[in-house]
Amino acid sequence: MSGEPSHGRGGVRDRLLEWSDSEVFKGSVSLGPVLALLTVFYAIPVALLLVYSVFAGDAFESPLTLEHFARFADLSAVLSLSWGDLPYIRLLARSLGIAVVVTVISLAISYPITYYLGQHAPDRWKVLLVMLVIIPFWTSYLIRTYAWIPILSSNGFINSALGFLGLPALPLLNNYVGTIVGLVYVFVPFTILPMYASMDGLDSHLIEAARDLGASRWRVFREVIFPLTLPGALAGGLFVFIKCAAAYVTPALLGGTSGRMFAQVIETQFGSAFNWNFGAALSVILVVVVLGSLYVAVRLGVDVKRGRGLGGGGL
Amino acid sequence: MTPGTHSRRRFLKSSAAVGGAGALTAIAGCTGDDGRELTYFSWGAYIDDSWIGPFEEDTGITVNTETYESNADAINQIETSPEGTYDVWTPSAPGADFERAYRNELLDPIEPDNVPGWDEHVFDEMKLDEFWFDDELYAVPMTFGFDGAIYNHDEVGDLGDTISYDLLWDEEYDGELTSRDDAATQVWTAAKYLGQDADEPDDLDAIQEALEDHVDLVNTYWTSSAESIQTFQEGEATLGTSWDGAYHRLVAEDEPVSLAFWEEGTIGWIDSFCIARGSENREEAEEFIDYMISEVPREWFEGPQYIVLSDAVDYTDEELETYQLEMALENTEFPAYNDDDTIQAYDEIWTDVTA
Repeated sequence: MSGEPSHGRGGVRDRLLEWSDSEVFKGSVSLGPVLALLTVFYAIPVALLLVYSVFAGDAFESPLTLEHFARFADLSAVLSLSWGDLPYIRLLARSLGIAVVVTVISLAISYPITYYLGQHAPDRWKVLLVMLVIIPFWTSYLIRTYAWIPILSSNGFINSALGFLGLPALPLLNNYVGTIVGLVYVFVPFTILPMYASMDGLDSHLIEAARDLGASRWRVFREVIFPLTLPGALAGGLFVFIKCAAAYVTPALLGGTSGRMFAQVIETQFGSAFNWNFGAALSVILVVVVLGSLYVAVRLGVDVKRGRGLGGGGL
Repeated sequence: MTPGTHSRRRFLKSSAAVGGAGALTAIAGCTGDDGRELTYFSWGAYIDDSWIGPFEEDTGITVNTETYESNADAINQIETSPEGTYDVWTPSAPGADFERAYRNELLDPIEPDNVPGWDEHVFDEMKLDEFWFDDELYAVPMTFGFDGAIYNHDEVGDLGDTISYDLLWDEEYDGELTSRDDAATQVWTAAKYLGQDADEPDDLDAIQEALEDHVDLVNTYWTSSAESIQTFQEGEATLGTSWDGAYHRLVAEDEPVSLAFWEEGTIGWIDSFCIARGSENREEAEEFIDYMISEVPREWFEGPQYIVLSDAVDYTDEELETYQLEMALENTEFPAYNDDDTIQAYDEIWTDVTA
């Protein structure tokens, strides 16, 4: 081969080969499908929500307006702290409150489980035990939620057992309890998995050293285990909080009149209320609140990357 | 251009032609012997092989099906789909949703001459004027139902076959009530309870107050027949509003329930066949509607457990007594159309009450 620059078809082929070996090409091939998917199924729908939320009626055919956002938070009611006149804010606050409770309970359940998995479970059993955490995902989310109805209802398993023991029945379904139980059941694996990664990577010699130096079990947990596994817990907790804040199916099936959440009102706007613009505005508000939580969490030092790989779909 | 390239291109063209022909053949194979088809859009309970299968066999028309969860769901779906996506659908008519569908131009007229069953089988008293707009027929009635009162007679005793809405505000039933999660239905019910005109209530503040009292007593709301049935089966409610079809299914499962009408007025509805706007299969759609009311209404009746408004069902005396058709027609009302502002006002009330 001479040192002359190649011309004609050979030159084109060389340039193509060179381009195919470039970082831009490799990046496009690897990222392209994901970008296309996110654009079609995420960016465009979110953009449509934004567009609908600022038009009075049909997008681009009706006047621009902020009336839908004003309806969410009536300024005079906000300024006078008239809680009773702010139903949408009340519902959003309730949803966020339920999300916090579910997150805390999920973390509380996950700590002992992941501590055992990461520190004490025999290596040959670990994969199987982690699989047990994942197995519920093989069943439809809807079916798993429905399954709680015969467990929690007045005629259900728990209340029948209480009746058998001569104890009074408990109101477990169609209230906050039903919503929280259902959400914890669905989301606890999402805290277990990132926390398991933290617990598994925790150097057991640190725990032994603390014990040798006379620390009680509680102090070992408080000063060694908890701080070192906190990043995993926060990442999983943040994920659960975000998913719970927008939960729809579980409160609709198990929440009754008192466990109603914000996403249910959004659904109503797109359905029987025939008000897509207001529904879009409520959706934008929810997205902003959730993104705001994420921003605050990152600013506080939560390593959200530890929650990577967590899915969940439209729960 | 080399011969090789030429032949490869010719091969690709030929392959595309063969592939295209194959695909067309496959599509034709999927759409019946003569390629006739229609798309039927309805509630899940109204889509069943018991009546669609015989139609396909007898006519050679392929029926593509799609389900919806509510009239509002169907209206939104048809409104946002290209014209011609759907051929036959079954909104509740007459009433608010049917009128909305007509005003939003989601309906095409039906030619009665192409649906002989309209004259031959549909009950005369159910050929309502409200099915017509500008001398054109837009709905052929199929099933009739109502938002009756269901109660567990083992728990609350025999309340009779007509009871008052007062019971939905009675503290004796605190935590044992259920009703429909629907703003318009709730406002209509509260207006009746307060003695207001349910179609044009004049005091919405009073209605909101009444609903706030009511919500404190309710255990849960339902959005589907299945949810309503489960609420009674699981002992979560002993009294409440529900569709009569839910009652018949509860009875079929030996649940101790009774059905009653509401003294102040009961919401009735007729799920009717309509042709969706822009249907490109009008002939097939009308043939389908006629077949449903003429050939397979008994299968319809035995399926979803609602009264089918066709004499081709050939009801037994026992069935007529069980389903109380005459009494049902006398005791029910069809709620009027609500414009967008009214719907928003009702939605605000309902959100405020349940928030």
